[in-house]
Amino acid sequence: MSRLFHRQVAAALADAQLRSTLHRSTRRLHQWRAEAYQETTDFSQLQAAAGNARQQALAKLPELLEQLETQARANGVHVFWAKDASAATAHVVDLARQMERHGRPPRIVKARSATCDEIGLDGALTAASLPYTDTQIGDYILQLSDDAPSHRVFPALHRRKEDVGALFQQKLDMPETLNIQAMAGMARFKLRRTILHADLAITGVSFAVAETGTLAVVSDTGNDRLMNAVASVHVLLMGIDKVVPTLDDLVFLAQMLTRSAEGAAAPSYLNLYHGPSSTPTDPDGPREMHLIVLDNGRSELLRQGFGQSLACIHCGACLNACPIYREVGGHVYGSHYGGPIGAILMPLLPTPAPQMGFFSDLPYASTLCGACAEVCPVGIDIPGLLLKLRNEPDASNHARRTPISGRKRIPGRHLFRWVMNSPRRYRLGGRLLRAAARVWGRERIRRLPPPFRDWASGRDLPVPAARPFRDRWTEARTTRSPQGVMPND
Amino acid sequence: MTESRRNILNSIANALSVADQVDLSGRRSFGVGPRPYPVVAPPSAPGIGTGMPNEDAPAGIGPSRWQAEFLAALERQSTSSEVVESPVLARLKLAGQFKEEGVTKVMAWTAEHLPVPGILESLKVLGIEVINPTTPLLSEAGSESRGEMRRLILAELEGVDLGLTGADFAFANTGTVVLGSGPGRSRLVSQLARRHVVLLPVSRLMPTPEDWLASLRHTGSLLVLTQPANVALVSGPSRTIDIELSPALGVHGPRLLHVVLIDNI
Repeated sequence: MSRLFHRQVAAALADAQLRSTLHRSTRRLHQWRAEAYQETTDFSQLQAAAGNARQQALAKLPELLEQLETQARANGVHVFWAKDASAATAHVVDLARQMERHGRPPRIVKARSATCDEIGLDGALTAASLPYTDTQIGDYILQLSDDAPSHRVFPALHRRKEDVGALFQQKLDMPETLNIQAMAGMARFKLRRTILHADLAITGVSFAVAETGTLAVVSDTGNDRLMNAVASVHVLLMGIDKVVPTLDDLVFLAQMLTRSAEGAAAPSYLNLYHGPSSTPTDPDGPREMHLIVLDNGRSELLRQGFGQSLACIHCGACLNACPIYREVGGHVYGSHYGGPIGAILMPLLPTPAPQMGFFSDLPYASTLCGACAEVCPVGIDIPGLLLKLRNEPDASNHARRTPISGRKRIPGRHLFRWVMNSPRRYRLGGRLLRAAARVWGRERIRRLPPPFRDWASGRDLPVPAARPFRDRWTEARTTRSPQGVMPND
Repeated sequence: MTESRRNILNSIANALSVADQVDLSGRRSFGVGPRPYPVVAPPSAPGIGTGMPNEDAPAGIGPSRWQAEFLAALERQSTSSEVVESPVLARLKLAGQFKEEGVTKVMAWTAEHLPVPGILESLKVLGIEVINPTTPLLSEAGSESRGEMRRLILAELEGVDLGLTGADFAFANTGTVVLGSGPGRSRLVSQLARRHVVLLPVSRLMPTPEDWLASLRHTGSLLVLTQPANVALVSGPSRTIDIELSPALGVHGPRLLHVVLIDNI
């Protein structure tokens, strides 16, 4: 693993406050999700149906995108196809420039969208001297403090109310408080002014429905709807994977999304956008609506046999379930797509050169325990894909450098196999390990000699029990009934 | 532009033809699954949530059967509600109630889109000002006058305490009301005010969103759905759990959502 990743993990692990915040939050989200499926049709049945729905959509992707385009055009939406991030950002900047009046740039408001993060829209707008405001509360907090998102759904999950209170006090002249409702009220007050003066609204798309051209946005605050009602131009950005065939898919998948993301039966707002205000009598709504359909490496990802990962509906459940994410949070993944699914997507999607080697190491940031696949609402085989990525490092767009721990020939691996293949050698190995433990570690073994040194550099081992299970088992068999030793020994 | 369209579609098609052999789905395969999809949260009352269109429902299984379920779902998501026996009673009750609460200004959908005839007049009689944010069109205003005009309209709307709308449909199991935009049906009415009151005839209540779609398909009115530029499926007040997962209400929308379920329409 790269040194940078190690450094970031070490820093995150050393931050006790971060860890307690993460533990509390991820466990709660995980728990809410579990409770939300108790009243539903059996989860495994829903998961299979949802996975099937997504994969059927992916298998028909070109037809669905063309149908979506036709319907959206019929609804009065302009459709722009963007091959990569720079084409997409250039188009947004272009649209914004066209709205300049007397040299004054349009007032831009943005809603939460990982796709916007993916294409680096914030940076592109800033570079073009186009100021913008993030209206999602989490993003607003991050924008005020120049911080990066750490969670797919709740970007400021790593922040504590004490932080946010101090931030609002410093930046918004708010009296000191720990009252979260008051902080939300302050954000409402500030953001409402900005939104009511907005000219250009930029949002993502949760699902795009091919049969009707419906562009659906899931949200709990309703910021996208307020932005859409007021701004004269609404730009929606979607990856090619967001298209679904029918409204039935939308209604079904949207329920899976919110139950998985936050344990809610429905989002406060499921907004279906069909186009600009159609008649002169429409009281509000945009004059123009633009849809940007983005590839940015997705078709290549599909070609590499990782298409299953595009089934993702971006609920964040795998993050909340992941024992790695729970300890270190989203920042160490170095991007907006963190957690288990991010560890698949980021090595495969195009990224700026400096980060290439970094992302190709992410598939190793997993214990392959499978907790992610268990909760995934669309049943993506995340551990399977992570293993596939480890085995095919060349699939990664930019992994020309082989990560240390992923080397095809690890001498230690052969030794391990040799030892594990014979009871006698296994016994001997255990004895050696116990002896070694006395030298190297009291609670955890953190270092091993070559040929295991590289392998152990990213892993801690628990110290072996002082007496091996085999010995205890033999002893127990001779002195008392086996049930006495089995469960907790 | 057309070139990038062709490029993208081609590379997806190529990818799929390769991926089919390579294994599109990874290891797990779902095969061909059930369609229509399973109802995610079937209502607890028997005989409903079957995906049957409303008018085909057997006798004795009507909206009143899932009314309790709807009210319970509303309560779960911090939405208050009341049941009123008729539109006339709704008019009398609400107007008096608003007056008593000191409401001075209401923004509302136009009268023909509200299921309670005469409600706006009753409010006016009691001295409550009623605004229909219809003209002039915010987004149509010319570039010069636009800023000024918009500022005036929005400044007026922002001071309004209460937004009053009807609803096209409602779903019992998720506690959802469906609001379509259009002439006389401003989005801002249900978005800007601190308090949003929905007037909902019981007859528009359906057990699940799946039933709603089934009935739209059954009556061939699926594309009617796309007529409004915005259709909002609203389940609860505007809320956020972005700070420490603690719920805070009323962020970019109403803090209070109240549904008046009206019988006998």
